[in-house]
Amino acid sequence: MTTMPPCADTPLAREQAGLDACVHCGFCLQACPTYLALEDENDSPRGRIVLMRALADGTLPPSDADLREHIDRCLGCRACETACPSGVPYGHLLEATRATLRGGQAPTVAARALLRVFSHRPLMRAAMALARLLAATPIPTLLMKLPGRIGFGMAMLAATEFPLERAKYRAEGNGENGSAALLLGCVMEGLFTDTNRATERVLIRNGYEMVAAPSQGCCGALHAHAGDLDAARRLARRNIEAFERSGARYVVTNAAGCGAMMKEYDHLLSGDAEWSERARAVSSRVRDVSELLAAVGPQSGGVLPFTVAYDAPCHLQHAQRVTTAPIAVLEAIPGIQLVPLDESDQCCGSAGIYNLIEPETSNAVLARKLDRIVASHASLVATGNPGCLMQIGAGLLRSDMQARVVHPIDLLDASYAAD
Amino acid sequence: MRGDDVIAAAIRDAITNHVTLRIVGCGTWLDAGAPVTADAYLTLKEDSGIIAYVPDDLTVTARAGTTLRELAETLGANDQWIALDPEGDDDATLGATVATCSYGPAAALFGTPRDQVLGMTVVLGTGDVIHAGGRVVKNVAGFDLTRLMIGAWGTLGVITEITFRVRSRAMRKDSMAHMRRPFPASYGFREPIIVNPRLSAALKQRFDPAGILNPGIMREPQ
Amino acid sequence: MLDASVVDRLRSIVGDRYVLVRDAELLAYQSDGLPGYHKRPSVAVFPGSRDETIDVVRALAAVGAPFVSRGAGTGLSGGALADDVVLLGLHRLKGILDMDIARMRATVEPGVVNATLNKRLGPHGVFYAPDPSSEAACTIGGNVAENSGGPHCLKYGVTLNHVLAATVLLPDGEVLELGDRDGGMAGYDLLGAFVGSEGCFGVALDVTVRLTRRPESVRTALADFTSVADAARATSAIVASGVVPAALEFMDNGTIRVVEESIFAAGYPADAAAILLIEVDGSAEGADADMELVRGLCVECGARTVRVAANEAERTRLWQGRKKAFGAMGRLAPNLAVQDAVIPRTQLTQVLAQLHAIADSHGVTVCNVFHAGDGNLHPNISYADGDADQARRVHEAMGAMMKACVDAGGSITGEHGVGLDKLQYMPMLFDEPTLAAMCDLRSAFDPERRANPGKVVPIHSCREWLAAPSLRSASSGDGDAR
Repeated sequence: MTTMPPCADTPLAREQAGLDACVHCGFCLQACPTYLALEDENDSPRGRIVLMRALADGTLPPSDADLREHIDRCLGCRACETACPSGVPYGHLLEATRATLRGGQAPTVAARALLRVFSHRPLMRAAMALARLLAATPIPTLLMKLPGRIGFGMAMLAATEFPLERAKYRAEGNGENGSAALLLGCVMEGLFTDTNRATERVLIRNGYEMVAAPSQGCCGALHAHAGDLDAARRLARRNIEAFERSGARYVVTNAAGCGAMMKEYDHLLSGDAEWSERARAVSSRVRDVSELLAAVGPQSGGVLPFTVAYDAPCHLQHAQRVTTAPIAVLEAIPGIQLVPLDESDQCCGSAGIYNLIEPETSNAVLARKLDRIVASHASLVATGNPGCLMQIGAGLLRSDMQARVVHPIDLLDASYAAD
Repeated sequence: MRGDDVIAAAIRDAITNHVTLRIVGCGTWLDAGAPVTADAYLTLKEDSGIIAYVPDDLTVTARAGTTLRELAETLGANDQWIALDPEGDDDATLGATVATCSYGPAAALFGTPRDQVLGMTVVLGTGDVIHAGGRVVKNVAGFDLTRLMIGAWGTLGVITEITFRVRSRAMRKDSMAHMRRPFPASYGFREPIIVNPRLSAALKQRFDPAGILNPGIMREPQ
Repeated sequence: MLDASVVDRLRSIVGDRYVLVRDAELLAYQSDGLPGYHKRPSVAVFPGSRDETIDVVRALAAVGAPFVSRGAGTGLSGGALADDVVLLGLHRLKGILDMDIARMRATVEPGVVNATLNKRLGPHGVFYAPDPSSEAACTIGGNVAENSGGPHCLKYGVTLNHVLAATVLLPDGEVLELGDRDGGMAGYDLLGAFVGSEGCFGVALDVTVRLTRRPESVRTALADFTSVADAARATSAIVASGVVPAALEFMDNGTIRVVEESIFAAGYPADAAAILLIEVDGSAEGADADMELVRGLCVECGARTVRVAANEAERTRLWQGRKKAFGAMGRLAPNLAVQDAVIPRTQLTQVLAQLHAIADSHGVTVCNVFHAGDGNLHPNISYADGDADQARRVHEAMGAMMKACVDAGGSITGEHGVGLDKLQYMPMLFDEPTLAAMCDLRSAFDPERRANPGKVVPIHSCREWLAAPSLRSASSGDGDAR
């Protein structure tokens, strides 16, 4: 093997210490959804790190088709990180590798177009408005059984509907636990508007003061995952400014993927002298909504008689390492019977825009998740991330299963509404 | 016969002179297997004695002609034993116990000689002296010649020295109760039957090419 | 390089997706769990069923192609790799074929992951006892090949003691049943010879393992010491006391610190010179009484504190730290030399001091984490790849440590196997006739020595090699560490 890096100044070369942390023990293999589904170590964290090292030391050129295929096929769920005793920062390695491979270009034309929409606020709003209009018609439900991506997309839209009745109520609180500004998010504000409002209500009721951060935008997570680190940094700077200006003590998110990204703004901007300190300050204030609620209780509400299984979003469980707070939220709801979900720490195959780029693998991973849900006998699957809600929700609808997906915060809100 | 060199010389003589040998401990189990028609006896009873015993290591090494009784007396002084209780009286030798893989009721908790023997010295049918396994309780160095010889009824080589795992008799009985296995329930030994003929013949060919050790003791399956 | 027609034949058996031939795809299969070794297979093939496996091995036998079996690639002796061979990945054979709780046995395919089997057995109140630290990833087939151990082998025994039977595919394509599912014993103990044969005797198509009932009660304690010698003395005292701990594990300060930095931080005191993790089990009163005795012995030997886990969560946490300790060594340097020597238990204090002296005189740092109750040491030395001088010193220190253990009456490997890594030490432990007899045993199973060539026994020990000068010139040597 060559020892001289052919090009020292790549995003991957800057992560050399992360590559060096892997001692090839293989403890990550069984944590990896693509390894379990595809049964080739090249589709495992350890195998991908071998490929990354080959790219970094010049053994493989960036143009190598096998290298690209296996790196593209990674879900980025980071389940390997919570299996890794050596603390390999796999998520950062993956992003840096993708950035090195195509200079920040997403792998397909469709993905590139989609990312452009996300980073452009007026376009995003228009797209989401259209999607919302469509979701309000019976069309998604009618078309959701069509084979292929059209049918799946329709099922995803249909899955955004909240499955329960919920009365209107007015949230009141004393704000004694500090101020919080909500990251509205692209998909959350676009398709899960009610969940955003519910988030505000339950935080107020639990003693937080909600403040606005008006000039915020997309968090940049999807861009970073695809390797477009420049776009991600642009979006990060905009949000850092917006949340600094809000003056809020906490930046709160209800989308696990966005929360994970914002908590890592410090790493994203670590090479930027002007922004690194500001990024660190904002990152340190980011909390998932379940963390804020678990820290103070949360208060209990009215009875909801459901059997609920909790499925941990990868970016909450593995990236943010938030594991018990969402359970605390669900346990605060009287009447709910929490049942265990086998492999609840495993990815559902959504993974940002992965289900668009790698539909086959995504479906294989989803099928395993649906099997586990059937075995749990739950009527509701609670999970705190829009991608997971739509992926699992679409899977349930398309396979005629009775269970429905729901954001834990919507459940807590419905409980308060029933109080 | 005493000492590996003496036994090896006897075996080499037997090869040269085409003499078949019946390997004998103290001779109490002569009829346990199929009838053996050998030209001469090779007796190990005189080759006895404890070679190494450090009680706190929980291992003991003894010559194959040592009797179960003799070993039990030595270990018993420290309230220890080798966790083997084969049928018959304690005048049986360690070599015979291991060569036949004989066991008693204690096997339901501790297993058979297969699970208790850590290493051994063997004079092969070629006259070579080998030192299989070791004197420590855990050892995976090299291919397991020890397991091959246990229960081979002396047809591949003559066991001359054995190292056993040792256990404390003071061990709390209830601490192992959950480990009881459904078999074996009582007394027994490894049946001298040819199970995989091709592999068995290949082994015999390599370890006793002249066919001088315990001819006929391994039976064809019925 | 394998003939193209053979590759086509492999593809027709297992499907195109499961035959890898390109350089980039084969990189991941150049190493197992020991990162210092790289050997390039010519092809990797992953059969998806028993029949496919038989067809693949027969296709290779027809052209005389050598092959290396591989489970999860977590082995620590460089055993599952070789240059220019067909790499036979068995990880797709992951069916649990039978769980017969009444007869206390289970039959599994070789690719079943150790922890997966135990997860399935859990609700029945039984378990498969051997628990290598890589249990979350390693396969039963690999465990059988290496005769794997683990912390709880102190009381429960190693893989050999838990395998009842196996269906074995010999390298020439013949299928044999070894052992007896019902526990009977007859004929030469070919199963006993097969367990631990490091993939040199053939491929296990299925394995029937013995199950053990869960003990009624388990108590786990963490004892911490301000000197390594005190911890070693406590170990000897416990072993000699007559208590049979389910596990008795030792970690030194270097190991404690890397674990405590990891996400598996277990609450080990970072300023301790050494800790012992001690587990006793059995009936509730028995376990309590044993633990009291153990606690007393630890305190007598100078333990600063002895903390007994209050609940299952705490117990799991204490164990997670120990089980992930080896993987956490990546925090120190990208490369790791892992040793696996066994010594008589009364020699512990003296040998540990020797190992530290050897490390000091070679200018390397050794971290110790091991199965103290068995005397099974794992001195680990972390080092960087690029530094040739350091790599040489590590290599020399390892050799000196092995010699110290052998001189103390020990062995060069207790559970990791010989593979490539320990091949050079075999003549230190065994004389020529014994090594030749091992070659003979292998040759009975695989006369052409096509299964995992170049492993376990140095080839120059074999009668065939000594008898045939042509083999000597064609031999590529005994494997070389890079």
